[in-house]
Amino acid sequence: MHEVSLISDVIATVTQSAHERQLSKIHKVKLVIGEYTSVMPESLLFAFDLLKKEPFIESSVLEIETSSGNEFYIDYFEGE
Amino acid sequence: MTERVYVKKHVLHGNQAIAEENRELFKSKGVLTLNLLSSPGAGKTTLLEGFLNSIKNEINVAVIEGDVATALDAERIAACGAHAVQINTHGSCHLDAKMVSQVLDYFNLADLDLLVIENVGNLVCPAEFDLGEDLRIVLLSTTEGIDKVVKYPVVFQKADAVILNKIDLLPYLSFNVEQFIHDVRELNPKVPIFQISARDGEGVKEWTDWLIEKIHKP
Repeated sequence: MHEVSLISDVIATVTQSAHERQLSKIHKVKLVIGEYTSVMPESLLFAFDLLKKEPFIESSVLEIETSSGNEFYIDYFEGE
Repeated sequence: MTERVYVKKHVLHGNQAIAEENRELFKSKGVLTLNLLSSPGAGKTTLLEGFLNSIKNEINVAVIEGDVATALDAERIAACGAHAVQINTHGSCHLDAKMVSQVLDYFNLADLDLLVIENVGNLVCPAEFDLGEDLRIVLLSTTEGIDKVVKYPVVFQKADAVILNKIDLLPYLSFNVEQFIHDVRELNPKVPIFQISARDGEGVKEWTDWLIEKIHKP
């Protein structure tokens, strides 16, 4: 549906949380997406690569786990 | 050293938070709120016109109309004597909780029994966005074809009632009603299913009675 704006929200949430913990680099972001959501993982991956412009997140990877329900949440991120 | 930070936050948490505020407000004012979803042209506004004309003197209803452009639907609702506010999403294919919260000042919620939010015509995106409603009503029309239930499962799975519209056209279509009911039940076993013709009014009373009962016993 709106994968670019969704990923933009994900990056904003992760960025804020990383700043609060004084992390200067994000290596990985992990999402969980239920099969009963109208969200396309391929489009999220595409949007993530498109939007991770800032130096502290540009080398990070997005990992997506699909589940059987209708969850759609940020599980965790890794950084230093 | 690499650190793992668990976030465990819904990606749409911003929308969810505003939806909960809306829900609390509706509850405190004693308003039952519907989120009406369907494809474009399935008959949402026609259903509301008939419904509004039939309950005019019984309950106080207001309507929020969501469309990409124009105030055509709000004008149709206003012509039935109900207070209607149009939201134009300017390209967005769904309403979100913030758009709804921004127009609530136009209503005197304390005077209302029922607020109907007619979403943008779309079976995909609106399903993901909680508006703070009490009930989600999904409308499918017979001309859209039976396969839409399995093609767009999320919206049917989350429905509190499913309405099949345009049953007056069944003699001219290859729409199998038994199969439709079966497919809906596979996704949502207990959901009430109403078969109506919004144009000639057939079956609308059953849905109206169900709704009136929800208003009195939420």
